[in-house]
Amino acid sequence: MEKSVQPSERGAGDSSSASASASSSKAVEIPTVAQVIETQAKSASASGGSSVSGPPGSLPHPGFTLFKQGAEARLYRGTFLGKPTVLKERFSKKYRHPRLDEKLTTKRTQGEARTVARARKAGIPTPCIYFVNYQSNCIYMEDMQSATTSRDYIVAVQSIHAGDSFGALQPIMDKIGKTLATMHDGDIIHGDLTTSNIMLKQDATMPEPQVILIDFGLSSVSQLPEDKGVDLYVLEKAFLSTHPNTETLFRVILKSYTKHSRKAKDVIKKLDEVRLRGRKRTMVG
Amino acid sequence: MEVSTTLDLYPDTKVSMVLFSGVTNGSEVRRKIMDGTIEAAIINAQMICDPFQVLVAVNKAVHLDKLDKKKTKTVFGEILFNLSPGNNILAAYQKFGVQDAERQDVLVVLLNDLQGQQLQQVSNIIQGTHIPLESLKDIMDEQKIIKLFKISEAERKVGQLVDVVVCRMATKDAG
Repeated sequence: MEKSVQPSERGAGDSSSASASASSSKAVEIPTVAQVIETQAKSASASGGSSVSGPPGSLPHPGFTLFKQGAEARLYRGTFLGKPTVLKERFSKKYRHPRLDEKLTTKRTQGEARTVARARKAGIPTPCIYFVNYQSNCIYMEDMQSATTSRDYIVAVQSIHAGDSFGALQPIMDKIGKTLATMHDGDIIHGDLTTSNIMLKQDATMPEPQVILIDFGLSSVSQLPEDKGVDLYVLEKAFLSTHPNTETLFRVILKSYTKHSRKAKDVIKKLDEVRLRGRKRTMVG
Repeated sequence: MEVSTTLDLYPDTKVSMVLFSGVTNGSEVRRKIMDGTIEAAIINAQMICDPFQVLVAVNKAVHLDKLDKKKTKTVFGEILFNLSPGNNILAAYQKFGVQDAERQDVLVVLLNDLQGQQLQQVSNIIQGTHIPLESLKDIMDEQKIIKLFKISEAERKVGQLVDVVVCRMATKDAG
């Protein structure tokens, strides 16, 4: 089964992953989510893991190492009360007035915790929050094990099946559409939907991969079809620019969304409107 | 029988947990907590699905204690309060504290009991038998936990029960 795999994509000792694919009928050609996860874990351990050097003067978190730095927050990995944990620290912006900065940073930390809780109540799998420190604006949350971003998964499948990856990716896209429908039906707007923020988890106990949404840092709560339409539009833009020539794939997400969401009709109508004018609402008057 | 660990964020704080089964003097124990004789959090073991759930509550209690932002009078009261889904202190004590039942299982949480004296003292008061902490999963009442936290079927499917409960606890003050 490993014949079609490019050596650069898969690490040594691939034969051990054969058992993971035995359950899938398409296993001969298409890597399962579990396999992609395994390959990534191997290449990460081979390279010794990458670490980003922290900015000068940043507060150290004992036992945690920085692995990602964004515009709003820094992400660290470590252990918290015995569990593998991701620490998300929102840092202060020196260009803002200190008082305003403190208020905004705390409000956003709080907002993220709130929407994660809301999403879980609606049945959306998202990393579990273990602890929120409002003093230092840190969120301690579950470090997803046996998971990969849908972005890496799509890239991995495409690299193996340059010609026909549609069939392989269709079931996952269907699941993503369903998850987004559930989220919007719960009036949660993610605000930053990208294929990097949609994760896929599959371990030995799970017959099928699970779709997990991460990074609710820009999320909000709204019932408006407008906001949901923009949310989908953001994903469409991100999706098509990250993965070229995947229009048909994205259509699967929308189709599944339409099927599973109660208010899909209005949202799709808005999405068409937003496509014509862009994300920002036109200013009238 | 006792299991000890230190908090990652507060390495100078040692947490010990001891499980007692068949405790018969619940009301006496509660009286001793209220008059300050017992310096420990005594938790209704039925409501705890994993020791991790308790550690999360302890960590938050110690954190708020250091900042002097506790909602309750003692760090032990704060542990019970943190375990509870709501913001009513009395309700937290009633659900997660010692019960009036004739026989019950309780989880005792001690902080910085370096010499074992506090455990000795608590063991002298509580009339029950030590059992291993692993028995917690047989004692816990999943239906009671689900009912108290009002966990819907959809939310229950998101992950393990302990994660669902812990996430609720950690985000309850997010508004």
